[in-house]
Amino acid sequence: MGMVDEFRLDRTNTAIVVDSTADLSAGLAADPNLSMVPLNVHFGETSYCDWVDIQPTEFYARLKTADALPTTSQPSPARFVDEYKRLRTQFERIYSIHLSSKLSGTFESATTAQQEFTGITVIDTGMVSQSGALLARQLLEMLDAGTSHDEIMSYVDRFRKDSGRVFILDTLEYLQKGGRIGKAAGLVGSLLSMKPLLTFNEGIVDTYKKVRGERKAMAAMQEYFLEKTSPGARVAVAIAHAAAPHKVDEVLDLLKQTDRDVHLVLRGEVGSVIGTYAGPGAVALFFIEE
Amino acid sequence: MEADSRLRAVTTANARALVGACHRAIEARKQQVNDLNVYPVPDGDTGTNLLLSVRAVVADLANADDTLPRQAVCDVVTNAALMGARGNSGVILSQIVRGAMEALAEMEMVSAAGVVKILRRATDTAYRAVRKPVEGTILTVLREMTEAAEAAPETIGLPELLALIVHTGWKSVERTPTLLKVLADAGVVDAGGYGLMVMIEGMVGGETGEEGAAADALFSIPGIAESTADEHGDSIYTYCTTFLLKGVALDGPELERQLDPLGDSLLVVGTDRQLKIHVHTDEPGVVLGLATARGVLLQVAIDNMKIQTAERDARLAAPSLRPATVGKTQVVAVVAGAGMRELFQSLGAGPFVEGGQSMNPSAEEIMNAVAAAQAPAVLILPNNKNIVMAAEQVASLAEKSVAVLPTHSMQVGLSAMVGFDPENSLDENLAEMTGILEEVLSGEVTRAVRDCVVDDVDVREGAFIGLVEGKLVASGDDFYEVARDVTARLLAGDRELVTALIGEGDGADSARAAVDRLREEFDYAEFEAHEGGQPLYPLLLAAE
Repeated sequence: MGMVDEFRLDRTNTAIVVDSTADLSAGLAADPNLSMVPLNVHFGETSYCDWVDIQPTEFYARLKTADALPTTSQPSPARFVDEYKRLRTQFERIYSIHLSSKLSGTFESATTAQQEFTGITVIDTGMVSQSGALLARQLLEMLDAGTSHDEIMSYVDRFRKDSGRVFILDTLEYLQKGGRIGKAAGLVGSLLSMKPLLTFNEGIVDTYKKVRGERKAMAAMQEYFLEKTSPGARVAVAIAHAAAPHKVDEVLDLLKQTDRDVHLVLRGEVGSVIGTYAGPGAVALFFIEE
Repeated sequence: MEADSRLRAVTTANARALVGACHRAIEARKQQVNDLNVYPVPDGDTGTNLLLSVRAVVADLANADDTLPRQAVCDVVTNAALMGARGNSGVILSQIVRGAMEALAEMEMVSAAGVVKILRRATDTAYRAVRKPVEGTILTVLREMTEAAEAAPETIGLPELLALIVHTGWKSVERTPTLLKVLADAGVVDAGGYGLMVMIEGMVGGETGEEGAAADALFSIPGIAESTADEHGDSIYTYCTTFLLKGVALDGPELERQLDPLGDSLLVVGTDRQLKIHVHTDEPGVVLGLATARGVLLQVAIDNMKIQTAERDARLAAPSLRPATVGKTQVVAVVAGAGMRELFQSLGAGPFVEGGQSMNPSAEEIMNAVAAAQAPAVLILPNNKNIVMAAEQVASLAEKSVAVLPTHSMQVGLSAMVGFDPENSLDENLAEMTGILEEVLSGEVTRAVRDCVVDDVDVREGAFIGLVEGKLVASGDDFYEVARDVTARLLAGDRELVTALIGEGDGADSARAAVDRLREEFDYAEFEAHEGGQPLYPLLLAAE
């Protein structure tokens, strides 16, 4: 894309695409420069489009009573082709932000589709859920101010490298049964109930700290936040929950106890696709210094 | 004089005779030494540990060549004592033996002056081995004997010197309660010191005439059945049979009368709810049959006394349940109870050594498990304060990289295992797990094995007692109330996660019911309960 490096990017010429696993909060979902391509969740023979046909409340209720765990599938390349085609009539540049390519074929589908176009950059966040929404929000802010491709790509690099990403699951069962346990596999055989603080490392789930008990896990999350930010820093924070809204407040309280200048820019729910692996009770924290 | 000639030259035959006499003496008084425990918790096992430690030496000497040179005889004894050491008392004994053998190996013949040197070296080695020597223990008894021997006139003959040593030693044992308050509170003398004197006197040959008298005079705890064990000579019977019998209104004397014709070395000790039975017999089946008719049998052990002890130990220590993956570090854990083993295994521990309270494994059993581990580094979790020293002894003797995480209880060991990662180095694991240890408090609920006042708590035999970090904090007839007192103390401070481990046997139902009520009472804390299946302790608790 070297030819457009000097091109000034703003809301008139640039759009952002995310997939549904970005778990957009309502405000962001309504942004005219942002569009979303859904993954699918399947309960037996019945399929739903994540965040389109099935909302979190319905999903977690159904998860509780389902005989078998749901499965998920990526959008087809054709689905991305349609979306890119529609957007390219209006925008010259598209940044397409997706969940870790090690956890889903979505990045693959998007990359395949992108090859039919010019002006589209596909980004692998190496994470899931509101990390995608947070990155999209930050890029939209840059578009508001006017930016360049180089500035965007260097911000994306910084985001992939330095942003905070941790989560706590009520149970590791869903992650394991869904085959996404990654390097946390060693925790699974444990007869003691573990509440590890998990993170994403090179695109897969990894254990940040092994702990037992919800409160200890929350304390570990606060420690992680302090470790990853500088004293007094202004930090943009996204917190998502799976059928456990009170946990967002608990996490936010812990962050506000620190001396960091915490800005909760996104607060949302974990949708059906990520919820299939996270299970109810999960809470995830993503952040980046501003 | 017999002791004189027996001690003169260091040969395999003389060593066998001397250690054999030591073994017979401690075997005869094993139960007495066990009963000299300070706390009313069922952990009286000093006598058992000393006996099994000595038995390891007997076994190795039995297999040793008759024509070994002096140094080799001493090496056999030293090594057998080090590897056979069980419990803290066994480990200290092995260090005493090590020092004594170092001195002995330098002597052509043993003289009175030689005995003084042996005692001095033994004393110094033993004191060095214990990080914080406590006076009023086996160490004091040994030191005072040494000092008395050193102060004796140079012209003293060997028999007179030995008599002086034995006399001084028993006097020292008698004074142990004046040096150690816990002994005075419990009204007992130190079990380790008492055991040491039983062994030394056995070796000297009892010619001073004080033997039985001194031992019996010091053994003054009321209500304890006297040993009827044959004081001298090996049993003519084949099977050493021991077990616990639990029931209601058990008639100990009646059972004793029924068992008496079936063998010798018979001991029936305990309460009307729990009896410990020991008998040497050729008909263990008949013995167990008689007992089964009266109650529930636990911890049944039938040993063929004619089979070499070493073989038995090797079999007991056979590695089992290896962890699925071998990384940089493996954990060897000492555990009791099938559930407990599974819990540890689920956190990546193994190989295991079976043992714990009142059944301390030998250093050799721990060593075998360390050898069975395939990782280059091994972390040992002794999971009992009486096994820590044996584990440390193994660490100092082992050829691979071995460290000890000094866990004092299984439940604390379990909490620490959460920090274990086989892919981390020994030092990393040690640092992480030590960090967890600092945050965990342990609690226990069990039954008192006798009346006493400990840590300012009045305890009646048979009552439930609650301990926090090994210290008695509650006693009473209601299981739940004791468990509640313990839990309240555990949760003081910022602790909020309680791991409850349910034991085997009678108390398990009370423990389960208590945990359900504790959950309601302390609803601000998280409770996690598991079936540990551990003996003696219906409920083990860890809070962090």
